[in-house]
Parts: sequence; structure tokens; C-alpha cells
Amino acid sequence: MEKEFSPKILSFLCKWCSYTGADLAGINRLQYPTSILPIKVMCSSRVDPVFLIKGYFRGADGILVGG
Amino acid sequence: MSEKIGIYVCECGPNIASRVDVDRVVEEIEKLEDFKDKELVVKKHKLLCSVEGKKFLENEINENELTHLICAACSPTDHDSTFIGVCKKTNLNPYMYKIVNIREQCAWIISDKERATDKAIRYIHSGMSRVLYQEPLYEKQLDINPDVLIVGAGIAGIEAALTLAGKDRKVFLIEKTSEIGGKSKKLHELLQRQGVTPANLKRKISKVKSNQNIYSYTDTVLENVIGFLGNFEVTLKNTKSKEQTEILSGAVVLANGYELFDSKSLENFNYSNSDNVFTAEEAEKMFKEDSKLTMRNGKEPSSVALIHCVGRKEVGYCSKICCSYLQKIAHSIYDHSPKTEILDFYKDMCLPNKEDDHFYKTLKRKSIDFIRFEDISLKGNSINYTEKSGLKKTTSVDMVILAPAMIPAQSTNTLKKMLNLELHETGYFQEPHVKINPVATNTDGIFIAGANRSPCGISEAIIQAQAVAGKISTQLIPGEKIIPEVKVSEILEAYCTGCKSCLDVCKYGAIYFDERRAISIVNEAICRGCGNCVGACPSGSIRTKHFTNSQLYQEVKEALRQGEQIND
Repeated sequence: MEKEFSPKILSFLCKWCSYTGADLAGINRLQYPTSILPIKVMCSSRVDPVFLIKGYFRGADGILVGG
Repeated sequence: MSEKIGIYVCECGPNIASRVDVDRVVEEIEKLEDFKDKELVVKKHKLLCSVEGKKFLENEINENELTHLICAACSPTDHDSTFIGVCKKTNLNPYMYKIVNIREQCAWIISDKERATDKAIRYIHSGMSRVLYQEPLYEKQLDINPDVLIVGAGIAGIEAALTLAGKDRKVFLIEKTSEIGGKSKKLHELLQRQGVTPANLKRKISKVKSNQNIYSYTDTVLENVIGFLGNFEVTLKNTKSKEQTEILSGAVVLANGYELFDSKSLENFNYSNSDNVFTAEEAEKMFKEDSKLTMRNGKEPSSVALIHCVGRKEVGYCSKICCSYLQKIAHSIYDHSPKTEILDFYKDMCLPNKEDDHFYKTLKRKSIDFIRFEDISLKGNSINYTEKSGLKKTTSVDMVILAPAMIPAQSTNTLKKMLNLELHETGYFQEPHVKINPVATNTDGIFIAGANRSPCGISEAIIQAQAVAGKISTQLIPGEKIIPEVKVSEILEAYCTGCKSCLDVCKYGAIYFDERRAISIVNEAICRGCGNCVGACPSGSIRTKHFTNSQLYQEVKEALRQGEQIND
């Protein structure tokens, strides 16, 4: 049986805005895919482009840098 | 020493327990293949942040001699600091701990208990991989200098100085002109009908002069500032003697005020110096000197036009105080010669304070013409205007008084460059948050008050100055030490190529360049650990403590674990 495609999204969330936004999504009981394991960073600019390349090599279907 | 990881899963009352199978989490974490050579202590608890929970955690850390700690609980925004506090009571370095957010970002976003439990396990697994790469960090304590430098001795600067100066705290008040008092000192009256007269201001000025803890420097500008909250080294320069003075201060308050828009730069305001067109500032001066308005020929005008909003459209914001001060001038004209015809050309009447409406209404009772214009132009003393209704009209008066928009002082830009601050698109200083953090800047220890952050009146400038004084009093307590951020960036000298990319991206001005060794150096006391420089460094020579590449990479690895079956 063929499985439905469920993308793996890698996400880097800035501590000050988007990480707090993700918390707010939880407080409001919004539902989103379980595959996402948010990675907290002190600032979205911390995300070195190398992480994106490594992420794709490791099989990410999409990468979200929230800042 | 072998690694021993303690993993404590909080049920958060029913918040987590009702949506995540906590027992299964504990069971599966204990069995994780990746950690079979590590000692694990996995337990659940009803409420880790409670008094009892904290005590439990403290005992667990001590009894089990944990080397690493995971708290699977709520968002770090809520209780990261609580658990750091627990670590500090034990021998475990607080930077060997990590909180895993299984409430907001797991339990609450997945309605299916099975899937939520699966995610909680993956999330905790990721935290465990990361925590093994964390390293202990140690806080430093720095002595502070409680003294304060205030730039600008206008009303905001004076108020901040008077509020701050006292036992154990000196204030250095510098002013680029030759006397303290600023622009408010030039006013013939503050809103007199409201019980505010220049006498109140004079009293403040004399208090500044007599206060032994306030050191005033007139004809003085800021030459250079280096350092950070608690430890600034400041160079002052006397504009006349060119003499330089070095002082030390713990905080810097910028109260450099505003300037006025040049109405002559407008095309539709075509007038020369010989015309009877004055700015409100000049009108104030006339009232102050001989309590009446005088035309260039020495006579009193029989008709006066007051024009609001000069340059309002060009600068793109309302200057907030012009409507009420033009009304004050109208009152003064009426009081001195009630027969003078007064035409008040306004666009929108801005009356933001609780007293303003009454002030306006008393004026309306005195035969003053309020004309709401859409467009206005000036040729000498003759005024062409389009009323709000669209009707075009022309009139001529003996004298015109303009209310030009307030604009940022030129010194604002100089200070921005010197102190590496941010400006708003209007040219005023940018506060970190206009509502929540309105008198700070993006640099710790540097504060803004008065009309350099946005147009404001005297009362608001005083409120801001007192707010700044409050912030400084709580941040710089004489005799106490400060603990700077420990999760800062560091540059590995051997790899630094001296390209200076990091200097351009650092928002805090925390990086300086050592010319002799041709490398960049981070000032740890200023650095806030945002990691901007890490992302920009082409040679990979910068690392941010507690957010290193290897630590984050563990999280990337776990988030994308191969063969992970995720059913959404």
C-alpha cells in the first residue's frame, strides 16, 4: 500500500519571535504536522547556510527559517 | 567521569498528561538504542515547577550525581529560568541542562495521543543528543560604575539629572550650547492657564546648579564613547577651548532634543526675511521680551494668521504639540490686544491631552476664526487657501505665525554613528519596542528621553526622563555587580582572516577590529549572543557559546532522522 507523501520540514525558529509564535500556536491549540521538531536559535541570522545544505542532504523536503 | 543523563518528564497537571502518554515516554526513553552505553535516570513528575517539584529535581541531581539534565516540560519562555535556578543550587552547571518543550509544541498541537507521544519521544531524544554536546559555562561578575552621563541639558536632561543625582551617584550633564535649559527656557510661558509657568522650569535649573552631585559641562559635546552597561569610558570635548575631558560612567542618557523644519524650504511658502512671517519660536521670543507681537515696522499687527502643520506632509508625521502651542499664542494675543483679528488655519486639530479640550473651548468663545484648510500657500503676507469644503479663498493679514514640524536634531545622526544605534525611518531614535520598551535603545546602558525619540511636549519629556532614571536606578545599584550574558560569541583567532564581515552585521557594536593583529575581537560584555556574526563569517571562525554548530547539528540530525516513520 502506497503511503501518502508527508514532507519532512526542518525549522529554525528565532527565540524572540517565531519560537514564541510556535508557542502561541500551541496555546491556541492549532494543529500542525507532528514531523516538525522546532530548533530554537537566538536569532534567525544565526542560521549558517551550511545548515540548510546539510539539512537537504539529510533528507529535508523543506526548511523554514523563522525570524 | 561517565555521563549520566537525568530526564524528567513533567505532567504539568493534566496539561501534558492528558494528551501525551507519559508512562510510555518514560519507558521508551529508557530503552533508546543510541544511549545504551550511557547511564539514564528517567522519571515523571506531576508538576516540576512547583515548590515540591523543584525540591525533587534538586535532590535528584544531587543524589544521582547527574552530569546532564533534561526537563521535558513547558516552553522555555515559561520555566527555563526556574530550572536554571534549580541547577544553580546544585553542583550541576546550568548550561548542562536543556528544557524540551513538550507542552506548547507537542501536547497542545496534536489531538491524537499516540502521535503526540511519538513526537514527545523524538523531541526528548533530540534534546538528549544535544545536551551531550553542551559544555559548562561560567558567569562572571563585573564591578559597575553607577554614575550617569546625560547628553543634552534640555528639560528631559535636567529632569533625568535631578532624579538620578544623589548619594553614591554622580551625574555628568553635558550641553552643547552655553547654558542649560534647552528650548523650553526660551518660552515666554508654558501653558500658564494650567498652572505651568516658566518659574517652575527656572526652579529646576537652579536645582541643577546647586546640586553637588551634578557636574554640568556647557559648550561641550560627546567626542567618543566606548564600553558597555556599567563601564563606559567617555571623552568630552569643549567646543570653544577644544579641551578634552575623560570621564567614566555606567550609563548614557541621550536627551539631545529636536530641531524645527525649515518652512522656507517649502515651495508654497514663498516669503522673505522682510515679510511679517515668523515661526512660533520667534513669536515666543517677542512675547517673552515685551509681552506683545511687533511687526518689522515696529507696530502691532491688527490681524494675525496662525498656520498649523507646516511641513507636516513632508516629514510624514504629526508633531503633536503645535496645535496646543498655537492656541497658547492665540490666547496671549487675545489677552494683550483683544481687538486683534486672529485666523487659525488648521488641518486636523490634534488635542491629545486631557487638558487640551478645555483650552481649545475657551479659545473658541473668543471670536477667533478657525479655518480648516485642505491646501495653503503663502506669498509674503497674503494667504491663498482651499477650505475643506473645496472653496478657494485669498486673504491678507498683517502677520503670519507658522508652526513648523519638529524634526530630529542633527546631533541624533552623529550620536547614532558614534554609539551604533538604530534610527527610525523618520530619523528619530528607534526604541527596541515602541510600546513595551520605549526609553531604551538596542545597546544596554544607553537610553533615550524626550523629543529625540519622537515629537513630544514638556510633560511627556519629563515622564520619559523619570522613566529612564527608574531604569538606571534598578540596573546600576551602587556597590552591586552585574552579570553579563554568558552565551556569547567568540572568535577563534587562528581562523580569523580579518575580513570584517562580522563588524558590519553586529547590531550591538560588540565586535571591534584589532588593527595590529588584523583580527576581529568580541567584547563579551556587550555581545548578546544572537549569532548574527556566526552566520556571516565566511571562514567559520566564530562560535556562539551554547548555540554551537555541533550542538545545533545534533538537533538537525534528530529532526531528520532516517527511516523515521511519521504518519500525518
